[in-house]
Amino acid sequence: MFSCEDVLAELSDYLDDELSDSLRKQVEAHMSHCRTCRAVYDSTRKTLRIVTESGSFELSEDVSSRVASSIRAKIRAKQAGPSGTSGS
Amino acid sequence: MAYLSGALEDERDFPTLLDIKAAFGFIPNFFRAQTLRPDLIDAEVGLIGTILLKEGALTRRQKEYIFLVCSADNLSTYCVTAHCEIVRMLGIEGPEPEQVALDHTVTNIPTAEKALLDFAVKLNNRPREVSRLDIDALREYGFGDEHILEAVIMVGLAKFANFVSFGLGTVPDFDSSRVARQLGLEPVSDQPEKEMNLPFGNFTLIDEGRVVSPVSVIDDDADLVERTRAGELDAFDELVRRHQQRIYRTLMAITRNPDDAEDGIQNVFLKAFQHIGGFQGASKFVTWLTRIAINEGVERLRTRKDVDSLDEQGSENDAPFRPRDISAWGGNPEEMYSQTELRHKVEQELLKLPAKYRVAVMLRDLEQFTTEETAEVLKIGVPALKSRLLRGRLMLREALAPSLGRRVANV
Repeated sequence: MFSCEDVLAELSDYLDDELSDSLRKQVEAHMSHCRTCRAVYDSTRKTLRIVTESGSFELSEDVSSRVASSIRAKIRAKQAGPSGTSGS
Repeated sequence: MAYLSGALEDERDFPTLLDIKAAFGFIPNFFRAQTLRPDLIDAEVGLIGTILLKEGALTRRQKEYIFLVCSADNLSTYCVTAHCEIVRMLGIEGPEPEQVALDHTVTNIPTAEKALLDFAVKLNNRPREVSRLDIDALREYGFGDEHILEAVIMVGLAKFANFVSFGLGTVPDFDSSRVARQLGLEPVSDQPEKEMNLPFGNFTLIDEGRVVSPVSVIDDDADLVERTRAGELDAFDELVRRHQQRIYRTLMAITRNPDDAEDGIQNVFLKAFQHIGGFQGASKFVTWLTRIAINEGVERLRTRKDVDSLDEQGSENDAPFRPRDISAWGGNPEEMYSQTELRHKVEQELLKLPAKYRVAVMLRDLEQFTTEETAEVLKIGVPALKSRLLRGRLMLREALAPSLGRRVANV
């Protein structure tokens, strides 16, 4: 029978659906009667969902287009340079 | 069909070939191409029998999968097509063998088998980087010394078969049209002289009606990479457009400094452009690019003598993280906070995590790399990555709980 510590150790793999069938069943059997583990699982799942959908650390359109233009210009200048390097 | 003329006038002269024919219903080109020296065929069949067919610590399925992932990694069309059919002929249960060959990390095979295949690909592709840590990682998944020995020998057998096949120019003859369809490839020629110049034997990628030579059959960026190599600068502009947000976030994960991250994007793409000729397609382009971003970020940390190192000692052996705030979150945070508020909270708390946990969580959960890709990008084993992920995720949850958990629970 899985303990709370066992469940915690497998929590990340359980959230990623990377557990074998037998481990998954043991985690679920424990959580079916342990409110604490269920609470930790549920809040961690919500945390990951928020992280994934947060759009965190996004460059503004202005900055991303300025950076892309700068890269574009540098590469073309390099290609047109006296050495005519091909980039490969 | 092969480069060398065989000496097969009557197969009844070669008992081993009769056995092979009995097993497959025909004599595969791999053996037909070696009939000048039946004694070599005898020796190889003995080797294959002992290593692959004879029951050992690994199952036949595990051995076939090792053979498949290595053959795909070596771009051996002959061996991939042959063994996809062999896996089917044997009735081995599991995902389509083509999927295992293309990208075993996205199949539903057990995590331990994925770790075994990761190891096989590493040994096949980067043998000098294999160390005792890789062996220990396999042991953590429950593989014993006999399993590991057999896996190593299987990688060797795959290399042997792949290289013999390349050297002799053997043309696929295991119902390759079926395999080709599954891989999204089309047969383009039956002329060996043309076939052998292509990375995937007699197949080439068909992309929107246009024939291109593939970098990697599993990479969405392969076409743009090829076109960039061919001198189409617009194709590289598209790669920049596709990936600059991701590169910015990776640089933020490492440096935590928006100015450094913004400046770093340009260096990352200029380095990628400069070295794209050396990109072999052994990993996805985006994995390779992210690795460049990580190096750029680490270099920037060094320059400003930041002590927040990614390789702090001992963390994988830290005592397990125990959540302190175990109250249930009674609702959905998304209903309680605006998107902007949530983003602000997530950004704030992510940046407070210790570096190794922060980077693992950001690559896996924000960038949505798979577990295996994240481990590859960070050049650590999957078990070490999982350990960092678990701790990082729990720490982040704990940090968010006071605001998200209580407010949600009190609604």
